[in-house]
Amino acid sequence: MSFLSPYFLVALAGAAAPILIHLLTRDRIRKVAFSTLRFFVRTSGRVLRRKRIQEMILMAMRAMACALLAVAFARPLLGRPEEKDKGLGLMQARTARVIVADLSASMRRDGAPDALRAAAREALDSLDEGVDAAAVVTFSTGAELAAPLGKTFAQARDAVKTLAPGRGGTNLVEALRLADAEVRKADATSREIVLVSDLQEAGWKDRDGEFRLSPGVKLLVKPVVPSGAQSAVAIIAGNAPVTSVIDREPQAVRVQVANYSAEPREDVEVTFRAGQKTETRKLALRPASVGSVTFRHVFDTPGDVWGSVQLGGASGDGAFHFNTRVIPRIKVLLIDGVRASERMSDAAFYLQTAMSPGEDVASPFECRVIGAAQASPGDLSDARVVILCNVSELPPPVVLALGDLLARGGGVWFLPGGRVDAQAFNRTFAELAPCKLRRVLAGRAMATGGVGAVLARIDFQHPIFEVFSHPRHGDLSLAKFARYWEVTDSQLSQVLVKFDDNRPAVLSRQVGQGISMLLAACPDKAWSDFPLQTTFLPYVWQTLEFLAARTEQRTSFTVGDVLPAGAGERIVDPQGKEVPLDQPARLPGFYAVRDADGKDVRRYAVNCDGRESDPTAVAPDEIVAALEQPADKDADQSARTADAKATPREDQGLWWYVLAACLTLLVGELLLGNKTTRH
Amino acid sequence: MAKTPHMEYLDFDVLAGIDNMQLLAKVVVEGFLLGLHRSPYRGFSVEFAEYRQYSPGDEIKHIDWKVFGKTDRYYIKQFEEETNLACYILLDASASMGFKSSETGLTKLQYGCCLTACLSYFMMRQRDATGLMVFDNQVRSVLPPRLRQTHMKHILAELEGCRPGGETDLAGPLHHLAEGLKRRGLIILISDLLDEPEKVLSALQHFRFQGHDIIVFHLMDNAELTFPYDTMTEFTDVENGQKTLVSPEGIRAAYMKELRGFLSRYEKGCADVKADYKLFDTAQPLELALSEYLFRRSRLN
Repeated sequence: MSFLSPYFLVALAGAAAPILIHLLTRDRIRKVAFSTLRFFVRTSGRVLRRKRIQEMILMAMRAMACALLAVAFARPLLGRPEEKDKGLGLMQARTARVIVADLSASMRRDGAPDALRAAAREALDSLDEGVDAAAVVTFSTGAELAAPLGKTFAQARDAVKTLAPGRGGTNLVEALRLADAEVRKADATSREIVLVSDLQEAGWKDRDGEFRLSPGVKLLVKPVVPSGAQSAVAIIAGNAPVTSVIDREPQAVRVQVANYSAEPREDVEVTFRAGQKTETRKLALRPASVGSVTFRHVFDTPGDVWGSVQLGGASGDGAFHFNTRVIPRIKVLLIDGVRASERMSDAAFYLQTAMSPGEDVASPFECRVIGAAQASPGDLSDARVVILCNVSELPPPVVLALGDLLARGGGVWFLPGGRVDAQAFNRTFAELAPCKLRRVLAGRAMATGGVGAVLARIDFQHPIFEVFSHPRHGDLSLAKFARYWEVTDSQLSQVLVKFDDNRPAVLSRQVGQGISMLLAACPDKAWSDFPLQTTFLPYVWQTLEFLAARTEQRTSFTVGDVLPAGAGERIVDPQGKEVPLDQPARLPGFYAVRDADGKDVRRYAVNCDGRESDPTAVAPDEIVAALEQPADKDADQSARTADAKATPREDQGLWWYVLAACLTLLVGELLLGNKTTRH
Repeated sequence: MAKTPHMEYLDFDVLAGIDNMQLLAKVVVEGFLLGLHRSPYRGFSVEFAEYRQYSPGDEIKHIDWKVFGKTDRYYIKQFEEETNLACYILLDASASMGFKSSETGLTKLQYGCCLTACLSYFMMRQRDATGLMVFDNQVRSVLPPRLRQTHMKHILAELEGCRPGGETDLAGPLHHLAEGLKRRGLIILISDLLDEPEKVLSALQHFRFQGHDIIVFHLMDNAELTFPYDTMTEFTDVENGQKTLVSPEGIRAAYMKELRGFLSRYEKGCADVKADYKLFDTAQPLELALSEYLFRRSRLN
């Protein structure tokens, strides 16, 4: 234990005050000759003993309260004495230096690790231990404080000695931000950050332009130049389908290969491996250029299909790993609200067409259309998504089956149209639908020949609409709605899209493990021209895939990412070692997720950041000029003080507990003192 | 006015307070004089006292016709009643009676001596024979009841020489005195009664059995009644020298409870033996205590 204000401990002498007061003011025994002792001789001894015990307890409580008060004002801290400086953020030192070491994959090149350790050691050894303060920050994809700021360098030396580059990317700004926060904890004459890195341009280009170091913090850049030759050719990016519906049609797996050298390369071998298939192609690359190779592969086996694309022989380094999840086709049940004797409605027709656009397009959906009157619970048994098109009500068993479908993670899509009776709909689907229907509205200007209502205020962060967020990726606002439903009671739902009059258009609600969605307009020609728009098909596909919960299962990650795992599952890295669930992936390759029985349930492909292959470096002066700020002593001091006050360490709050204990003692003393006779 | 010897305990203010009252004995005692007492004996010694103007309702036979002849006004001739009441005053002179709580106040024994002197003087004026017995754990002195005027001087001399000493043992001396008294009379016990109540009440029962009328004057110091001590105190028993250290605040409640029980046992016990009981606080004025008692006594009759 240590103290932030140890001079208050002098007040510990005050603990003797109650004892002195007790001795000075203790009762002087008066002697009285009395007529008889018969009325109190039996009780006086017992009372006297009790009184003396109570007085001892009271004196101890008072002395302890005084001592605790002194300790509380001394601000105790748990931990080593040097940690108190961290607590205040006001460590007094001549020079405070934070060494920032780059451990990204690009630092694995020959000679770079030794140069890295040497430069870091030199930066540390130039300081005077006990007078100056030092810290070590390491970074790749993320940043980590390897040794906190301190005047003793043992921890910093250990950190420097064990510096070893990994496979991660370069997150230079995150590291400098952490180093800046650490160096601000010192009240030093000189505050410095020493950056030891190969200064890859890729890690610098994507920085947050707003970030700058604190005023007065100097940035010293020590570039690391590998002694070994730079690999001239590398795979810098790859692309493979994340999920694929089982099909005989081949899917493309594409990689980008860069030639960083000044010489042309004619015979770059690129090898594709997936299952039993191996395919090698040769690529010709001009100097300082990027080329791509596309392999086509048929994903006809359900489950995870993993493979890799590598540069062969001495062609270069790098590999691209992929894992494509091949899924059976999504079974969709479309319940049409028309009577059985009638022909299929417009909306059902357009929906079915969108799901199966033609023979030359592999549809991931297997759609079945039935009338509302014919629907039975058995129809829903194997469906993943159910579309209720123009349906007001269904038999109770079917409604129950819809509830079961949602409970086990399926999806229900409501598309109410002109045939829907609002009251019947609200009564039947109150527990399943995202909202209730109130009335049908006409698009504001549509009735007079205008454009009608359009979709506006779209949540492009949502997985369904994410694909429409980029330019030339479809404009949903082109669809015009002559009529649509006004909805109510949507408090439990998320509104994803609104009409231009601010009324909800698309709503989503979590029900059990599944999701129910509602489009407040039926996609038929009488209500809108949405089915005729080019955005209709991707919208239907995106919605159905989202409702089938296929899009949330990611299979490819980058080194530095934390891999998702469920309860009871464990993750094994490419070397067969178990990875803690809260730790990021540090190696490229395939990670297996195993259940409690040790059986592989899925795989993740983890790749290095392709930009790590790019040897292009940024000039040190550019980094310094972009990040350093001139010193402003007053602002600097006030900022540090405010920072120290705003971010108190948890263990600084210990004195509150001591003070509370002191107050508790005083309250106890008050209560016991009232019960104790003074004489 | 300087007091003459033997008159130390005769407070004239006290006597003036008593003078307008008459002591009416509760029980009929044998005597030789005939007075206004409802006595079975017709007294032959009737002494003129004074004249008083006639008021309607007075007996006509008491009008002095000779005075009427001289003054032409009606006067009633009044006589002092007399009886040969034998009154025995028993004064406790044990060491505990020597306690006083203030430097300027009276000890219980001094207070008792004053009370004895007052009563003796009053009774001598009543023509009642008054005797005095002083005791602690044994009988110290006995002055038998006499009617002579010089007897008062003997009583006062005995009181002047009375000093506290010896342990309280009321029962023994009282039983001894009860055995020695042949004539029925009035027993006045003046004591702090710091003895076992059962023993004392047994002795009083002994007197009652022999036909005596009993009055108990229980003397207590104000400090004994209120226990006003507030600092740590070492109390010493004045009779046996026993010492104990006491936290007065801590035991006050217990003390007062014990004291109340002690007093109530005597009050109830005296009622059982048909003795009059009166508690005197020595801080109270003597005449107030005496007047109150005599007033209560007169009302009883």
